Amino acid sequence: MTAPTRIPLPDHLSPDWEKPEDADVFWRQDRMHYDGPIMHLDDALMRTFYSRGMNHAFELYGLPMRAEARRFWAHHYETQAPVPLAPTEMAAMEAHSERAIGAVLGQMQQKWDSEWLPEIRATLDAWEAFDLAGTPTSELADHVEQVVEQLTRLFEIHFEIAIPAMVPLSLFEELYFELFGDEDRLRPYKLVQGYENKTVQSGNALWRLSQQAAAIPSVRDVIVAHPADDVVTRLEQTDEGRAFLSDLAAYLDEFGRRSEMWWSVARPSWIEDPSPAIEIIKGYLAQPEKNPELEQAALAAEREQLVAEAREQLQTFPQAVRDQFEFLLQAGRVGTVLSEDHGYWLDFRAASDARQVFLEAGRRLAATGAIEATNDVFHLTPTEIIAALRGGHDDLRTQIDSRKEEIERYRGVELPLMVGTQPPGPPPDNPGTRTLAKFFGVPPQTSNDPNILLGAPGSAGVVRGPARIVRTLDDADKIGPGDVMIAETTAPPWTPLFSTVAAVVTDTGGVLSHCAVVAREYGIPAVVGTGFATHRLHDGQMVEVDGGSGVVRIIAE
Amino acid sequence: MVGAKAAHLSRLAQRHCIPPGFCLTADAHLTREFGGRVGMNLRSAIARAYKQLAARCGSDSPAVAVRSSAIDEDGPHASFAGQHETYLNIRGVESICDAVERCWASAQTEQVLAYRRRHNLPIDQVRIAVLIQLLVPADVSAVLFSINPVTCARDEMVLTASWGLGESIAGGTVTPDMWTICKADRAILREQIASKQRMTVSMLGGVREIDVPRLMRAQPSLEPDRVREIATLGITLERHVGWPVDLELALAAGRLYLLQCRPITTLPRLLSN
Repeated sequence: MTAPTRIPLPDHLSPDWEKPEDADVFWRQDRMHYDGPIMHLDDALMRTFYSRGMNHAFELYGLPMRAEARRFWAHHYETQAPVPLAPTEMAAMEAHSERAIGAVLGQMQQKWDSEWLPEIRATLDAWEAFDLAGTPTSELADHVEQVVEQLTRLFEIHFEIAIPAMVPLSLFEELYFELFGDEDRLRPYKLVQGYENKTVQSGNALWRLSQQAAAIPSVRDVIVAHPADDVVTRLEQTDEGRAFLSDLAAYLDEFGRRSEMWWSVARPSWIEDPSPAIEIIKGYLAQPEKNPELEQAALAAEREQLVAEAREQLQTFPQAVRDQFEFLLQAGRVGTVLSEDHGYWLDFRAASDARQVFLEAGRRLAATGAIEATNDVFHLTPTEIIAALRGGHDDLRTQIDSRKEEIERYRGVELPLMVGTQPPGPPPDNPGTRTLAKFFGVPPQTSNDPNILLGAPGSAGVVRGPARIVRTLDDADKIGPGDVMIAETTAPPWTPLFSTVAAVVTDTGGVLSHCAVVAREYGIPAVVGTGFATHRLHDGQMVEVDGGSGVVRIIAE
Repeated sequence: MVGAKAAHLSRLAQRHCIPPGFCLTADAHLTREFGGRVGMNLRSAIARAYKQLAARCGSDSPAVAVRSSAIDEDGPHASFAGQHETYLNIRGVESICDAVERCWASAQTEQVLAYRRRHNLPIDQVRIAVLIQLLVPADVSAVLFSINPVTCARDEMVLTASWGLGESIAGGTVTPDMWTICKADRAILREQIASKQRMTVSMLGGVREIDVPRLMRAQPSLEPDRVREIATLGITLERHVGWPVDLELALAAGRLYLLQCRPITTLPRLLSN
């Protein structure tokens, strides 16, 4: 076992530890979930997300891990460190873990339908029904306090689902490779593809809106000819336009409680600013031949074919092997769907609903002059917000200014992906740690050829197209049909863009990352976890993406 | 003369669940043509018997196991265990004849002849019977000794079992699960669940030994009730044969099949030790 090694900091940075012992922990910058600086409110919620939500599930499922989140240099860092255990304790823990996760794997759908979803809906329905504007400020403080407390429980549910949703997929992949070989790294995932889930539904509903728009020339022309943020104003001027907008509003009511960033209460939802949805409609209008419903039917047909072939090959195998295969196939199917659906409820909708509560708090505090503008509330922690709502009119503006200044100081600064102390030796090898590695990804191999970037296979297929670096959804308007989207990460809200692009390449993530899962559902090639594609590539370069082998080639400048 | 293995099985078939099949007698071995080939008459006889077997199990060309059974093999004094070939997952008359020829050839290898010399068995005119039996697509294969072959305790039985066809246990390529059972009340005295690394499964035209998937390695291959069921069968057969027995068994689609029952030939030597 090697000794722990302190990771050296680059010259332009001085340590930003909150506590001295932070230096002894291995921290990773969570670029998969945050594409830049993180404000204090999101930071506080993320700390709960990890320390209460993720640790709750680690404990529940007997995984000897501890998770924490920190804010270093105004950016979000997280750790999931193995808890050091003696070998006998470790063996006992693993046996417990196998039982605990095993017990829930076969019942995920049932637990979702009868326990998790009803609890989530009850909480969110209550939030959505709450009369925010009509509530006196002192009671609003109570409500904020209650929402924050209930969020903690939603975070617990999030990981109660996320872990057993991903574990069977990882186990199914491993079993499939053992039985059939691993020449095609993505084939096991094709056996669980093409099922409807909230992400697919949301994309299809938007496509149907685009078909509606395509059939009405006046509506179609406005959408095609004008920038996305100008479209609503222009459509409001005609009857046909207003009729279309009311259909769009119905869509947004169901699918628009989401922002462009994963789990951020600081970013506007699509209901507040529908430009991202309109952008996607524009993308569909530019590809009239595209029909996502047919594409999904083809994926489902391919799936059925591959499942039948696998079953045929397994006919002469012992019953116990066939049972194991069928069990994990079924659990993997449910897991694939629940990975997306729990995201819809607990990541999009819960964040968007909570945002409305904080916005109302911001309006009250701005009205009293405690803060300058409503949106400044996102620079405060929940504790500070509740205290300010209750305690009168302390001036928080100086503090907020210094926080804003800090964010600007670190915006765009190149920060280390890993800081603290490298743990001694490799992490323990068990189904849980292997699953997490397939979600977060592993450091990519380095390529000797400057024109080749290596990552992990995310979704099969080979295509060529011009690279488009997309750092935030604000860059989305430069994406056109046939382009290869290059992103640090593709947070869930980005996925409708998958309907337009030819392929996706990301810096972060593994084969179970949201990006890879959704790319497979959209049937487009994806290479994930390249480490630094967004730095190595630039706009307009012609690249070839081979999703099945995880390779990106630069073809021409 | 059909050989002890085949004769035992056919007697037992009347009482126990034994895969159906047919047998080429040792005299049939004498009809072989130049180069050890199966002659026309025997070929037609095999074709007829195979057709009947096919009709009986409702399949056009059922998979069979082709095993040799030397006429003095499996007698109480010398077991020949593992000395003759077994061919699994054979389909169609041509492939069966092929396997029969290879069984015949296996009776003439230097290794077999040396064994016969050591046991003072005749080496000229070696004749073997060949047993052709419906292949049991075993989910689990097991071997039961109706005594404890290690300690020679006659009040204990030892059962070993592992995933898939029996070849991995017979060939010693897998460490199987092991149960020591009390003969008086069939109580399980000791259970050792092994990490079973390899298993033999049927593949097109034969069998293949492959890795057991990681998730299943430490899973017990038999439930305790099944262990006791097999123990009961062992006690019955030992009484029936009048000698401690060594059983080969297969579990397929929840049914237990008896593939082989032979006296434990090493017993006199073990007892004298």
